[in-house]
Amino acid sequence: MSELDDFRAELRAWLLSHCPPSMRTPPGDGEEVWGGRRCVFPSEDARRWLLAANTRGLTAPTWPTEYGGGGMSREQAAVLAEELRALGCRPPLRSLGIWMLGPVLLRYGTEAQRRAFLPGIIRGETRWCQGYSEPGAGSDLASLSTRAVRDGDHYVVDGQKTWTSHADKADWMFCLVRTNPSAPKHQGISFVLIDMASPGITVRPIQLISGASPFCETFFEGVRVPVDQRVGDEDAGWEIGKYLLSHERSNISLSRDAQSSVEEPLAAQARRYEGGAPGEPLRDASLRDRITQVDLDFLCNKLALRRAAEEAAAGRPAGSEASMFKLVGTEVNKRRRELKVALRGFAGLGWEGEGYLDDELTTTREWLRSRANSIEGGSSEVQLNILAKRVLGLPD
Amino acid sequence: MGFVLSEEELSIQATARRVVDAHGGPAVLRRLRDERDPLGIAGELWGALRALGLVGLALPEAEGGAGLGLKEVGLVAEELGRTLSPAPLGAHTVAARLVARRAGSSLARELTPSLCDGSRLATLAHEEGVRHEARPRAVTLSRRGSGYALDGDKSFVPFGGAADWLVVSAAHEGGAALVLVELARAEIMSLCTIDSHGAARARFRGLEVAADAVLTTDAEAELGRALDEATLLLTAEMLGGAWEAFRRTVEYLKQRRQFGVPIGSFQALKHRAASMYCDLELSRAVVREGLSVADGAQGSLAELASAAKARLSDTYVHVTNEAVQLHGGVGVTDELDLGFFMKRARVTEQLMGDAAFHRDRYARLLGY
Repeated sequence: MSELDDFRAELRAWLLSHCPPSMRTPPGDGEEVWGGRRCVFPSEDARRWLLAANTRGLTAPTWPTEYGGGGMSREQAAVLAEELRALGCRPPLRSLGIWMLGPVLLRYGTEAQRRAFLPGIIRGETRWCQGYSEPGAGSDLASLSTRAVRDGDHYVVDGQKTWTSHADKADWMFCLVRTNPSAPKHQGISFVLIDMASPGITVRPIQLISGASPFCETFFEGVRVPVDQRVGDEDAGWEIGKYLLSHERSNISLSRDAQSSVEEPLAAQARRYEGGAPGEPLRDASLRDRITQVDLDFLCNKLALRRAAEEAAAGRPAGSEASMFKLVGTEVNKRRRELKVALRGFAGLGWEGEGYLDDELTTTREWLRSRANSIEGGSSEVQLNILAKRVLGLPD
Repeated sequence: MGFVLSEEELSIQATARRVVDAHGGPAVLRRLRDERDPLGIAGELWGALRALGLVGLALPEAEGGAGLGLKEVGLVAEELGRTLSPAPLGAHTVAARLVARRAGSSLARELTPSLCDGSRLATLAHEEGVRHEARPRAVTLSRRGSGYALDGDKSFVPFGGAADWLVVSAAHEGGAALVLVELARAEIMSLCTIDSHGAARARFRGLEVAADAVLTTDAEAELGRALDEATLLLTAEMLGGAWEAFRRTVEYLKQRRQFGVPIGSFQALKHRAASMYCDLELSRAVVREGLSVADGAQGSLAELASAAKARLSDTYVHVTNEAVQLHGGVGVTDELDLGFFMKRARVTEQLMGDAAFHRDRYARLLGY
């Protein structure tokens, strides 16, 4: 037996004895654990599962053990992912700190910053939000105008961020601020970490076309931020901010795919509303063809993702794939959501209340929410720009 | 790990690239076109491929083939597509595999070694009427005396003028049969098609067929598999052609200047190019996966063949249409080779079923 097989066997036994049986079922709505100082665990088992996972650094398997990570090799982390999937274990923690900030701190942070922030991130004790977009800086993120003015060993921050997911629940924000207004726009930005409990911060939730949302507006008025909470050099935050975005892009497209693969096939949904015997062609030929087109695009995207993963594992990563998968994944997802509403006909038109099934109301809200998929995290048009420049080498 | 090419596959790809660049290419196609060549085959290239053993890659080793899989043939087909080199690799491979499997027929046994080394050329005669169908109808095989008789028309036989032998699909007693017919015995009309690749019509009028030349009279599953294999090899060729038309277009966008700047700096054109790139990457994934499944990897061959052909029919046509448009005026001139890609795209779109055919088939396979 190879070392990896030993590792797998030991890990499986450990998971079986430490992951409570109720945590080996798919999480229901609102049952996901996002951690943080104000975390409310959906159940005692969810709390126990996170604590158990923390003893082995399972929330950040490949990060160094000195910060509380799992210290695993990539192969071991792949085994962990397989075992978690095989046993149906819920992720013990979901976290922007792990997905996005952690890689930044590991690459650009000081040792003191890593020691100060990584353990809390890994254990789910601090919850993070992302302070990037502003009312005047969406796709043109580098034109952001939230000011950070040096005052001794502090910055004084004034301005407004928007689309800040869960700003009302987060403990800390990683934030892009303008430290040098006279430099060219990409060269006057710094990457800072801000305690959301600081005086001068106000948070207001945003209502979307799909209803309530986790998004917020965040206002800063004379917020004092210690200079040692800046990551990287002053005015050198743009590169760091972009590095973080490359992690966001792959997360969005991968999570969408994981989601849709367990859904009831579109054709089966259409059959429920249209009737007809299984195996027979759907009666609405145009709807049927639209379903096939989405099914096929979804299949091809899944295969391309697998190919990219295999090439990367073989040491031949192709590069700007994150942009392609963000683009294609979200565009296919939008068409899929739209089709789900279309095939429900009148039953897809309800907003709330009686006369509609829960599934119908959810489907409709998800369709409306999906319209943002190709806007958030770098719009489809921005991804096309990136591909044109970095992959195709087309001139500016 | 089916997507990562092995050392052997990379070496086959490199060899094919070298040979195809040396002996094939649009210049050869242009010459065949200008000379109204009735066979429509790059003879010198075919000879070079034979000499290197690339013609029998997926044919049995014991009979002189290389005993490899369709994935390897697909890599060569991609190179043929990239250079628009007319060579009957896909058609011959699939027809020869059908013959090689038929150990009960002395004719098939005798032919197999020459098909494996490519000294004899075979092709699949299946298409009838104006559109691809899965089952033969117009051509029928009926019993006559101790043998059989073949009747009807095949409308589009790839490289039908250049082949030595046809493997003909025919309706037979409610099912399907596969029949070996020597080309000289059929009425052949070479077609002058837009893509200048060889194609012919074949007519059979009560053609006497010996029992030994009937490969099978219970061909439904075998024919289905052969069509899926031929479809996937065709998509590999289409993939190569689509990438090349795209590559030429991106180059042009960088070089061509208007309004004082390269036209590739215009966002409207950049987005069209980037979107094609994504389309092509997804196309590559589905074609490679389909060929792996044809070679035995887990998955449904029929589903993957239809998924690949539905996508490549749309992609090749779209990419070549865009390529011509983005080249502007020069794109519609005969002097530029680009038009050949567009013409070949149209032909391959129809061959083995267009996108609508395969989306319908895919839906049926999935029970809707």
